[in-house]
Amino acid sequence: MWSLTKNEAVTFDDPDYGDLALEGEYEVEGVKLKPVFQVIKDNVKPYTPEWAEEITTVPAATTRRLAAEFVEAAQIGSTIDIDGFTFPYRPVNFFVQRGAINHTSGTYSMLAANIINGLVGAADGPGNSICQTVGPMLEPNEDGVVHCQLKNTPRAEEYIPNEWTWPPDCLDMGQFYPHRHCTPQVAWRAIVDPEKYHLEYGPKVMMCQGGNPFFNNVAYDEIEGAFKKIPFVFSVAYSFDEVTQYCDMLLPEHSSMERLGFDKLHKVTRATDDFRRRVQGFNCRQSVLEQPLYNTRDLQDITMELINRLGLKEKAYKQISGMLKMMGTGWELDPAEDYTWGDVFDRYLKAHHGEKDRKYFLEHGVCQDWYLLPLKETYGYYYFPDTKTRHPMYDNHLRSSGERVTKLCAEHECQVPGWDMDEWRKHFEPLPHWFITNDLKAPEEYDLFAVNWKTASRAFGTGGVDDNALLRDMDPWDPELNFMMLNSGTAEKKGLKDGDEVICESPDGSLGGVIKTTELLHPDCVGFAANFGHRAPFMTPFSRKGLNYNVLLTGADGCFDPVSGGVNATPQVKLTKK
Amino acid sequence: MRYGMVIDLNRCVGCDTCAMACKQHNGTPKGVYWSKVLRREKGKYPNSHMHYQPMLCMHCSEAECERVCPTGASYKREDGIVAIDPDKCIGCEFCVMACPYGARTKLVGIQPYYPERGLTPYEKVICGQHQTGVVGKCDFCASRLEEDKKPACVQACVAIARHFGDLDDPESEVFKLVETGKAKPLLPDVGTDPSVFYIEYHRR
Repeated sequence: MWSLTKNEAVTFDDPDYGDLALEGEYEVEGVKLKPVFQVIKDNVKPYTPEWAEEITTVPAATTRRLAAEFVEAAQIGSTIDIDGFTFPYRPVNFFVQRGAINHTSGTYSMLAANIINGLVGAADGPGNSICQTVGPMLEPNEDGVVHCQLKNTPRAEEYIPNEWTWPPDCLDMGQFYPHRHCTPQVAWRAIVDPEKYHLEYGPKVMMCQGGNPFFNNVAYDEIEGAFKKIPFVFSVAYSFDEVTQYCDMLLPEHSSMERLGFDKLHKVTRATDDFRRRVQGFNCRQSVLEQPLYNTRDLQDITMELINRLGLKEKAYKQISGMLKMMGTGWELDPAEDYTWGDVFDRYLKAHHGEKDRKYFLEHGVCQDWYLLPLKETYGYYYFPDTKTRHPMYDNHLRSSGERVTKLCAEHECQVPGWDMDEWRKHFEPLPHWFITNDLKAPEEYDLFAVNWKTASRAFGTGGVDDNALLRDMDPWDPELNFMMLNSGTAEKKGLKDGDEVICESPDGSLGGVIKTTELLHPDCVGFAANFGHRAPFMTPFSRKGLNYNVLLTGADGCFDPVSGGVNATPQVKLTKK
Repeated sequence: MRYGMVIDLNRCVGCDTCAMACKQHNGTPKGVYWSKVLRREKGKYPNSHMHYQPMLCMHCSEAECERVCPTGASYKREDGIVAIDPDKCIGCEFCVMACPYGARTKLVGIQPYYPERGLTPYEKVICGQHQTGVVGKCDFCASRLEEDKKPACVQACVAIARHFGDLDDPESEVFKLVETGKAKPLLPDVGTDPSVFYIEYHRR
């Protein structure tokens, strides 16, 4: 930090820093440096509201109004007392979700949002964006900069890059995409062509459960190729979906009404109320039937038997006991014994809830001794208030990761498979910048953008909503479902009307459907609500109704976000009347 | 006593949880909805929005269905609920035609959700309680009220858009909401005096 009072650089914990410089340029040990605010200001200078209006059609005046309202609503300087603790109060949040970040440069949308939140001090406090996990996760390092404590938690790789391994030890190429959440689109190609992806092996067996890449991922043909290439594929499945069509063996699974499931109530921050952030307890799901209807089994019971048959008890029991925090409680799993999943459930309960065993839960439904964390302890700021942790205003770790992988690629005389390395590096800069990505270079005839959204009751295909008889029966009540939605003005210009059958085509796939005009959609877009349209012939007929939006997308190398791994969910398309 | 409901259209998000909760509690067969959400676009792009209108039996004080019923199957309970005695209903559908709110459905037959497989064991149990050939509709989950529970749609509403209680009780939430004058019945001009009120949607 540059102290205007002292006219010199000071450390973040200097008690007498006085007035700090936000703008300007200062020399420190012979190097000219700028305060971060000046760096951000310089970075955004070309990106005026008028510049954005040309691309987005959002009027510049609207952008300026929103910016002013955001700053005003942030109430900079205000505080709020919770449980006797005083927090800064910044009741605003610039929150980006799929529509904004599922683009090839989507990470930069997220960075822009983070910077804007950070500029008004809206981070990890009441009313604004909070850390995904409750607790002291934002511990500072020796420089006082937040040092994320999320290792070994879901999505930790977004903060802590994957380590480099050579030759690659995972199919989805985590070493080339060190911050990716997952890159299944790469894995399918790597299975088909391991040499191109520097793999020294190909999978011999694949176990499938709970997922359906044919329905939920992109590039159906590539997934099909991968399934065909693996010598033995088996699936623990509840329905005869696309995955089962490519399997050598099926192990039938209980329906959700027959399953035994138990879970610690994690303190999660993305919840509709503060109860889920505060609660520490336990929930369990038990079958509504005394006996299953058919010859199906719980996935976990199948897994326990596989562990036994494969001779993996020693290792797996240790992992299960560790995962369920039963080690040292006297209830850890003993490799000399065989257990059903119900047995594991019992032992877990006894380890954590004393005499409250499965029978207790059958009678009472829930464990009543849950503990509610004080609300103040659910905010990251509580653990490291004031200047105890500095939050970086830009993501320097992105540049570090980019430089590291580039250097390691050079050392191993390789490059990120399928990518031009200069194009790949553009995505690893600490501040967002705009450039035309490969997936936005379709010929002019692709004059629309396809967009896709969740409806209130259908989170795309999540949760099997596409295969839920009760929900599908309600399709006719929702005019958004199963149509291609098109702005009425755009439809008129194209000579289209309600009920017209059309082909929607992107450079990577096409889809037939029926037009429904709307006043709710941008004139440059054609819209698809949720995700439907299974192909598997043995699924129920209603599961095959509707449109599978994903066929329009691509996950080709060079055409997805190499930071997050996300594919572009807004492809350029054209409509042709049938 | 007069049971009633106030639905805040500013809170409804059109998620259909009410419709699903109703189906689960009442076991209405495929295609039969005692509670549903109607949707309609309003305005012109870019000043447009989707309007959600949850619908159910309005439990009218001056119920047309009751008036036209030739057998007395449709009747008003002392607590204000308009009910149907299936043993008296002859399925003439006069009430279906008379209801201005489309709240009633004659159950012609129970259609399976999976036509190629017939009724599932679940459907046999849950739909079996309904008589075919007679008219059915929302009864404010009378069986739940007997257990001091709210109607299933009220209990399940994720947006807390539904409020339920005694419209005659000045201390009740619904009484107070109606008293504000912001909660209005649907189609007031038809003179049925409904017990379901809506707080009008105001775009912010």
